[in-house]
Amino acid sequence: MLIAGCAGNQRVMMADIELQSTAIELIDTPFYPQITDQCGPSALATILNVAGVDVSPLRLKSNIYIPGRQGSLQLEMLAATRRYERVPYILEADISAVFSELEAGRPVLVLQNLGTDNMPVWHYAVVVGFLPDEKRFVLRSGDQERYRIKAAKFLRSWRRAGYWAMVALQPGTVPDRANPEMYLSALAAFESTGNDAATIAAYVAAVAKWPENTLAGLGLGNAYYADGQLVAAQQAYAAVLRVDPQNALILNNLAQVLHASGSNSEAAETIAVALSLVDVDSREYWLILQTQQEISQPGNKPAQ
Amino acid sequence: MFRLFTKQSCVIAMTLCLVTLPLMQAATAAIISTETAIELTERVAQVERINAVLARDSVQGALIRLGVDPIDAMARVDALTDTELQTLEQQLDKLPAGGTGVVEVVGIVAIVLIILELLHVTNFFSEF
Repeated sequence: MLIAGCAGNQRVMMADIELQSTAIELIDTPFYPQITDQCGPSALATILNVAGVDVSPLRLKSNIYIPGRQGSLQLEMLAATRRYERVPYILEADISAVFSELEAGRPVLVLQNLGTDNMPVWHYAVVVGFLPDEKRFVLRSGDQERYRIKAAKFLRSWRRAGYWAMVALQPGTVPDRANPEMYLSALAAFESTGNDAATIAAYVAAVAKWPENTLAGLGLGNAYYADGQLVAAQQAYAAVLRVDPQNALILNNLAQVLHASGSNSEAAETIAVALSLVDVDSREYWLILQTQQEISQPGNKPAQ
Repeated sequence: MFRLFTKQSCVIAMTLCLVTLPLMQAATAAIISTETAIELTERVAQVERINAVLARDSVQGALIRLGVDPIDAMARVDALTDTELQTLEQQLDKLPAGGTGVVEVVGIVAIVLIILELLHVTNFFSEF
């Protein structure tokens, strides 16, 4: 997740770069000249602005800058993005994913290592374009608004930083090339911000993109439930069960929603089925048993 | 015999922790969250959830020691997930902290080149 190893292949990526024949440049991307060692806040403000968040690097400094480290950590860049109600999505370690985001109009925040593996010099910049004639990327970087870096040189600095790149998504947007596991794990973290409407929008989009993905359906049902929309929650779980009828986790949550809706006998039947589907020694069993106890207690008011 | 007993007590205590942990969670206790669902598929030990509570205080303290305003530090750890907190707890000092300006890079590169030159590893300067 952090320095994700050198999954990508430099040579393959150079070939992809050769194939990229159209010039792209997101010229409307704002530029915040970096003040001393604060490229993190500058870069993050740049992509958040494009995603519709009105925030300055100065304001972000109190969210992500660590004086004692003279910089910003990747994890805090993600957390701060969530605080501004945008979904931080880490791209696959592949230059094609960067091209795909640029084509979708989203500038890409990258971590570079401008030093060596043993003597790293970490730097955040924002990729805003690619010029095929020159084989150069265009970055908002440091104090340069339009830093044109040779593709091979950029790839080397990016490889030494584990090919780490992120975009800030408006809830409800799913990148064309998104990997479902990566995207859904970003959403699971996003849920904790407690913005129910945004979480629902994000899961609706996920379910639309991957209708067969049970985790997306689980998340959508949970998001509706958290927002008090019991009927919609029930429908979301039911949709997953049509694809995967024996999904004990979905049955567990469905039972809770049925209980909250006052359908107690249906809830009891559902939870009994869920319990019968899992191994007695598993953690799932304990979680489901817990639900069964909760919903079977007389006079136990539903969570809403 | 005594050893066996203590080992068993540990196991029982840990099991109790694991079983009662969901009880401590708020209103939507009976709902299995996507985060939990992911953990279940990844087989992340639940012990890690307990550790996350400890990690929160530890990371907050570390941020304050590194010069972050205490009120900001509190809001910042609140924005992190359990998994993120544990990663930071273990590696706050080692993880990349992007922040270098271009001027500094030039300075560092120059120093490295001078050292390599002095060690006769390179002949960058003598080429000229």
